[in-house]
Amino acid sequence: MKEQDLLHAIGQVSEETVNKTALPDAANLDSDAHPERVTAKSKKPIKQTKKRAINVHAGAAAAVVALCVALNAAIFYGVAKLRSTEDSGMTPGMQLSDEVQDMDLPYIEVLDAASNSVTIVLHNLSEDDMNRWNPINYDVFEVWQDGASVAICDYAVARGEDEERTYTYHFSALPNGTYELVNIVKDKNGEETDPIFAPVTFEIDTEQDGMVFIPDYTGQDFEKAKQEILSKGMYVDKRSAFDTEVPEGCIISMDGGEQGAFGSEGMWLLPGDYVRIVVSLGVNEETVPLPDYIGEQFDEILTEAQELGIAVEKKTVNSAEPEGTILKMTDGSDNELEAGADIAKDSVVVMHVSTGTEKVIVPNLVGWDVDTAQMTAEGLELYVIIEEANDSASAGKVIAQSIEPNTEVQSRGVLVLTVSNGQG
Amino acid sequence: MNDKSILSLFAKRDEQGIREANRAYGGLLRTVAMHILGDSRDAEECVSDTMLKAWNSIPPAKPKYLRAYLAKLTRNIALNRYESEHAQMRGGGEIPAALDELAECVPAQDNTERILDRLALTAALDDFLKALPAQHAKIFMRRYFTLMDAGEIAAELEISENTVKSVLRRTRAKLHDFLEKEELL
Repeated sequence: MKEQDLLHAIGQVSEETVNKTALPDAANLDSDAHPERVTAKSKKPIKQTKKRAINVHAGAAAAVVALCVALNAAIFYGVAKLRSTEDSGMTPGMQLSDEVQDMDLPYIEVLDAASNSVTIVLHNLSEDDMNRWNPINYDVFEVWQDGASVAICDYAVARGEDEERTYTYHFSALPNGTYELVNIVKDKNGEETDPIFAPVTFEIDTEQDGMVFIPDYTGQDFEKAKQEILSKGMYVDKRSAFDTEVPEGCIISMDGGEQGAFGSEGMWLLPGDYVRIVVSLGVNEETVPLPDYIGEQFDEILTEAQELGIAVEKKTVNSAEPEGTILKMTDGSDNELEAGADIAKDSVVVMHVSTGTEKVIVPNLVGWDVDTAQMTAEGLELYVIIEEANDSASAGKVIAQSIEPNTEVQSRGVLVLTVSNGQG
Repeated sequence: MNDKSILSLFAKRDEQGIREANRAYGGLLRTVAMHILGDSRDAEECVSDTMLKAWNSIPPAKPKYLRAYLAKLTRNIALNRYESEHAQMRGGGEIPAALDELAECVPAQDNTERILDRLALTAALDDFLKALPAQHAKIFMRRYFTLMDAGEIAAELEISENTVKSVLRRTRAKLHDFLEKEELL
């Protein structure tokens, strides 16, 4: 690969990336202005805040930086702690954090914490830190309490819209209390090295509105779960259903009514709320013959199937069949079911339903430059393969395409573009 | 006029759409072309070509971000024009400097055959940019997509020119490692 290839490839990255990163803000551009003037106009004085910080420490800058590095754990700890509380009445703390921000030292700001997650923003990562900071591979946060690790965060990220990055880390649900988010950095060999961030304290206080935590009892014995739930001042709304997998008397599913389904960690509910529990009646001895629904439209058979006592589940599958067509029927364990088979009443039948594909009309791309042709075709959800050929047309021009122009094809098909190398 | 209205004018084949697109994004596109070609008349022609290509490709194309779609078109047109005018891609504008810098990301001696998996490279670049801190991605793309120089980027993002240069240097080194790891070099 050559640098020219790279320069071209950078021009092909997704519109979303270009939109977010490459283009200067419209506010700095006057669309009717002459280009030279546009450039000149966008020059703004550089923000003065950093200079101020440097002036404060002028002369002793090196010493201050060295001192800060030496004391960084202590300073970060203080700053992070103050920042995490979001208390507006903290002038001394804010002063300190302003200075730290101006000195470009990294710190964590806690935006939000729930019983099973914490959302943070990472500030002031230097390039050195960035090179070490790779949350996907080997950096991790752990939740500590009283000097010991109590949970390991799964990696999860939601990218911030602005300059800073916002991450939400999930962990298994923890009771209310004060915790520390501890940064554990490992090198590529798995050895622990200096953390980038000092620990930051955060509070889990989900009971502040008097909420009650109900764990997920799915699969467990109903009577035992009922006693525990009642003892927390909650009510139980019991329903029954046949189930081929969950043994009789055990819980098939739980939900908090309007609060929605239970997560695998459990759920916070208001005291006095109903917990709706579906309890298994075991396998229903009664059977029904499974009608032949293959090739039928899912929406048309749904009501009939439910009336027959079939617990219908829908699974969508990419296929060229028209949208909504049933392609296959399986039981809950993915074994294929044949039409006419006797199945236990109320057992699950998974209908594999076609998503169909969109039809697109292939435009005439011959004579276009390859980049524009590729962009247009990819915009139509066609996979583009580019082949070079000796041709007298100028290099980079499309000289042939594998699908005739104005042909209607299924999207996600392959379109081969033959491109001249200019050496014909 | 917003993107949706402009796109619906394109769909109705109403040429007012071109005027509206030009009003909304013409300045930006001229800036992009200007950075590559370094000549205002060439840049102006590039913007006209962009509008023509957009008119011919929308529909069927359905851009999600019209501004980015047009900017990509302009960049391609300007770059192709630049290449045909400067066979070696050495000359005026920001391209020679940008190419010298990007050379750090690719092997010094290129003995591999010129069979490049363009889709894979583009997808990998997208991944790379998404994994960068937002500010670093902005600096990198403003330099190598929009071809702004370090001074302009510094002024626009209100940071020092040295920071811009240092971020660019680090990011190029990272890109080199990344491309090597992805076996795209």
